Amino acid sequence: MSVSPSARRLVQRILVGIVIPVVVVVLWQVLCQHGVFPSDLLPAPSAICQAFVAMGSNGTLWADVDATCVRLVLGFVFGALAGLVLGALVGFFETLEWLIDPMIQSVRSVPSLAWVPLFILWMGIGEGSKITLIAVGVFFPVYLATMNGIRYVDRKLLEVGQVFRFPRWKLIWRITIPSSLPAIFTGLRAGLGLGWMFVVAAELMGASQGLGYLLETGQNTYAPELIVGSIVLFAILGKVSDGILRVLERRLLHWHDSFGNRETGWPQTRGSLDTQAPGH
Amino acid sequence: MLEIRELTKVFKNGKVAFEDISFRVGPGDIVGILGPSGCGKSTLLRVIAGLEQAESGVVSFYGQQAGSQIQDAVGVIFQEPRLMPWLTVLDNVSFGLQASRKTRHQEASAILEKVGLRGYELFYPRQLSGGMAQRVAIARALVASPDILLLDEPFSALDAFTRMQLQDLLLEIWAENRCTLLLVTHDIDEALYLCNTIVVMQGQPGRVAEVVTLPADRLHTRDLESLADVKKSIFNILKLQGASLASRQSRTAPQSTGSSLTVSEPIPSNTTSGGM
Repeated sequence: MSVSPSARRLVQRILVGIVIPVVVVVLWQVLCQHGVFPSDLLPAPSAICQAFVAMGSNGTLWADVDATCVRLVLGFVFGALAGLVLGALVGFFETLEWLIDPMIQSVRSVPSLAWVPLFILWMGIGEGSKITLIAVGVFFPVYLATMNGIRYVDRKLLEVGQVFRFPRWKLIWRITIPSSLPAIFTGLRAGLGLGWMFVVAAELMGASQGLGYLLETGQNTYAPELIVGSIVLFAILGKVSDGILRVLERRLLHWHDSFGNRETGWPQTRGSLDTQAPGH
Repeated sequence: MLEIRELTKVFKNGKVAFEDISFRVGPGDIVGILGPSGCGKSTLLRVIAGLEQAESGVVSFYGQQAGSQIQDAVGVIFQEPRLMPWLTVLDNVSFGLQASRKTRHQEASAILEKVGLRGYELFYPRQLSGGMAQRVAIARALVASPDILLLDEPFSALDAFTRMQLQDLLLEIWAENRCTLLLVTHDIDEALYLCNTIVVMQGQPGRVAEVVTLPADRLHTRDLESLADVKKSIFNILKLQGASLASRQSRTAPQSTGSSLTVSEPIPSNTTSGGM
């Protein structure tokens, strides 16, 4: 069987990466079976699996996962869009920065959970307030990263476009936006992380579905397997969603210095150009 | 084809970059602007390119005064390659062209072959060495076939061998296209090798100290002995003789024995302040 070296390295990396989780789970299971941890506080992994398999087979688990993911995606999309648009505007127009940025910065220093009562008052405990809260959490990192990415575009690159007499929109489209993409992606990933944080906060505030609701149910019904299982599910979902962004990032930003190995791209003829003068 | 008359540039902070600069560049000329750092020569080039505005004076192309806009006829090669890191070599070269993708790529490929980068079309800038990246920058400036190419110390960041190769490449391109070159440099030898006219700038604010025209039978030669008299006269203009000359050499070789000389000597202000 022939496997490309890069694929083999990927498999190796994954295998190494799951060593510690597997060891932890096995230890945990063994210790639980020997009664080291009281099972009403920390259930064994097998018990958690059983509970979740049961919930999976009667469908309630998928409804919870679905509810959480829909909230997260909607909140992320709204928050990220607002962050991108406002960040871009403030990045492009200095006057707008003076106008808007001080306000945004002061709003940013409000602990986001402080919004919860207000949102509930305005929008009830339905989906609206939850999605808004998540969007608020996602907004700030995306806004900041976009603004900085656009503000600190290399002037030297812009001058190249000026020499070619690009109109302003073309400078933006062909130089400013591509060169600020790495910063924007960093902001998006940070925003997604905060989004997961806020989805839990929103669901703990009162929901009838979702992983946060599952957490709360576990707390109220003394079902630790629900709590631990939900935490594990959060970890998995967070990792998967970040992985999706990373794949996208790699696709779009493969040119960026931080990706790939500098040496791998060298041509066969490396050095020949620098050692032999042309035309001689 | 290019005429500069009484050009003066003042920075926003009130510092005068250069004043009362006048000279002409004829079609097919290679004119060098030579001077110590801080004399405003790079700023002068930026004004001519249209990247900055002068306070007074005239820049005219073909007898027509250049407005605030960047000229169609101008190509610029900067000190750094300034390639777009997200574009392949081919896309970088065709960056400024306005045509269908296919035409652009055809033109870019042709130029890339000329600068000796055939086969590197799909590479990204981070995969290139400094010399190769500067070749791409040269190709990008050439592909729009400008009438006049402005070069701002284009080879100063390169090692000596690469620099010589690219100087030769530039002369080849010039011989083939008969374009006009205006080259800013602080390297006397480079100016003597490449140029047929050297505008020597001096002082702070910079002024034209002298316009040296090289003898027609001694152009583009690396045999600097035959140009010793010219070189000496440029040294004289720049007042780089004696102790100053020694200090200049010790700067390139800091470990040399002459270093005690430079320590005792007050450093002239125009070498310490980093000009544009």
